[in-house]
Amino acid sequence: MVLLSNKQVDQIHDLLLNQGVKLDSLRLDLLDHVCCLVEDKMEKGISFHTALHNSIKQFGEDGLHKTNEATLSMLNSKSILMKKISSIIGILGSIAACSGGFFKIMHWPGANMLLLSGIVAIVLLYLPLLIVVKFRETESTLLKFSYLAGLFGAMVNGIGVVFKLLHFPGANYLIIASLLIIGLIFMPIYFTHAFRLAENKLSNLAFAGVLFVALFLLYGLTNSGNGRVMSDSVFIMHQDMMDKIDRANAEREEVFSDLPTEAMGQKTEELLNYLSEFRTHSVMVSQNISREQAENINIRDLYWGTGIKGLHDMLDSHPKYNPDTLRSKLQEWQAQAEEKGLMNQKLCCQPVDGPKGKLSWEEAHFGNSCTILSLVSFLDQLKLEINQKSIQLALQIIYQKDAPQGAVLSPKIS
Amino acid sequence: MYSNELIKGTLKTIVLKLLSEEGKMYGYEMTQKVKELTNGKIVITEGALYPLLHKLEADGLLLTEKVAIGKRVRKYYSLTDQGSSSASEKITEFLDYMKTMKFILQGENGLALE
Repeated sequence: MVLLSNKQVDQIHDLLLNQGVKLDSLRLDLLDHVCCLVEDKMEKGISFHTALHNSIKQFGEDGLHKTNEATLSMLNSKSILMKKISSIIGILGSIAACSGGFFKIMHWPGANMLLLSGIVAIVLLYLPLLIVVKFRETESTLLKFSYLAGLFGAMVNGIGVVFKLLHFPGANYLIIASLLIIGLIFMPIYFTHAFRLAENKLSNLAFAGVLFVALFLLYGLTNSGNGRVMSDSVFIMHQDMMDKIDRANAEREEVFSDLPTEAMGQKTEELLNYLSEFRTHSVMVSQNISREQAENINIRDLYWGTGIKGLHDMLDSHPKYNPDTLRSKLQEWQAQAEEKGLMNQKLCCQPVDGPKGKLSWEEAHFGNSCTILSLVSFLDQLKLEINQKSIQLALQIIYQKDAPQGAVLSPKIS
Repeated sequence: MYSNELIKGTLKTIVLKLLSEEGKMYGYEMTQKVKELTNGKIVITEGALYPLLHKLEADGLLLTEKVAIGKRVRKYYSLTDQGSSSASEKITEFLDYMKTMKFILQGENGLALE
């Protein structure tokens, strides 16, 4: 009875591994099987090498690898359907998330909804299904660990992006943490171990798509001015405008105190109060805070992403604080001011030059791309202008009273 | 030697029957045993046998026991309780199927091969 030496057994083992028998448990079986075949042949006086050569030949062309594949597919017959479903969910999810990101960049409506549904499909359906399938196929503990790390990282990433979309604090930290997990734990292990065993192109394609989308969202969202960080220069400019408004306000009150019977004084006061109320309301609905908080909020503390639903709902349907009412109030004031002699002074109800040509007044200031920050600056700007114009008007009324008939003050004031 | 198609469809029954008779066997032993029992008319290929054994093990019909032989390990397969009942079911079903086939192929219904 011939018994192969340890060295010969090792040689056969390496041969099996080279011929594509990757499944550990199958390799045990086939090793013993081939050893038996070889021993039988050697019993009849054939040399080890010839016997081994003939035994392998018995499996047919690529037979060892095919046996490995046949065993894999027998064991995974249940997960093939699951794999298909998860791949389809993954592809649909990444299409939804990608187009959501594109919509967001284009400031088209429905961007957040698309992004959210894509992310939810990927994080809650695709990834867990994928992990179940991968766990069944994988025997290496290292790879299993990397899958768990990858799933965890992707979930943290998804939650971070959702936080960002919903303007919750801490989104950036979540995204950074997820990047670290994916980049430092998952990717190194996965790409050095799993790509060699790429058994299923569809699932790898879906996987690559999901990875791409995660990075795409990360880049797109952190750079689209959607956060709450405001540059110092914008803040200083706005502070400067607020100071100007305060000064102009004081000056206006002083000038009109010399004209106690002048109706424009009262009208201007009313218009300015309306603008302040408009501002307070916008801040309240966009930030979801009380009136008192809205009146005292620092402009730096505003969350100012585009597409805040409450703000757009208010602009679309509030009986008082909507673009139409604002326009008619401004036009009414302007008409009365002109009647009183204010010349060549247009208020900003005109079309505005946008990056892609002229935008209507409403579109420019209250459209889909309007943020609470742009709206607040616009209302403050209006307040400043109304103050300045009413001062000019008051000065003109005073001058006309004292001046000879027909004299007109230059419209510019220093 | 019979065609691969026939053997493929009956391999599971053959394996279950062998194990129910012999108790525990390893893969190579099964192929030799079948060859011997059928005078070489049925040859089980490794490419079909091992995937099936792994599948039956995963489905809970077979148990394995590992015995070290020098540097290599021999895996003995045996039936679980579930495997035993599945074996007798399969065997009864197949015997019945053979009867039916015989009836179709040699019956009085004019289907006889001639």
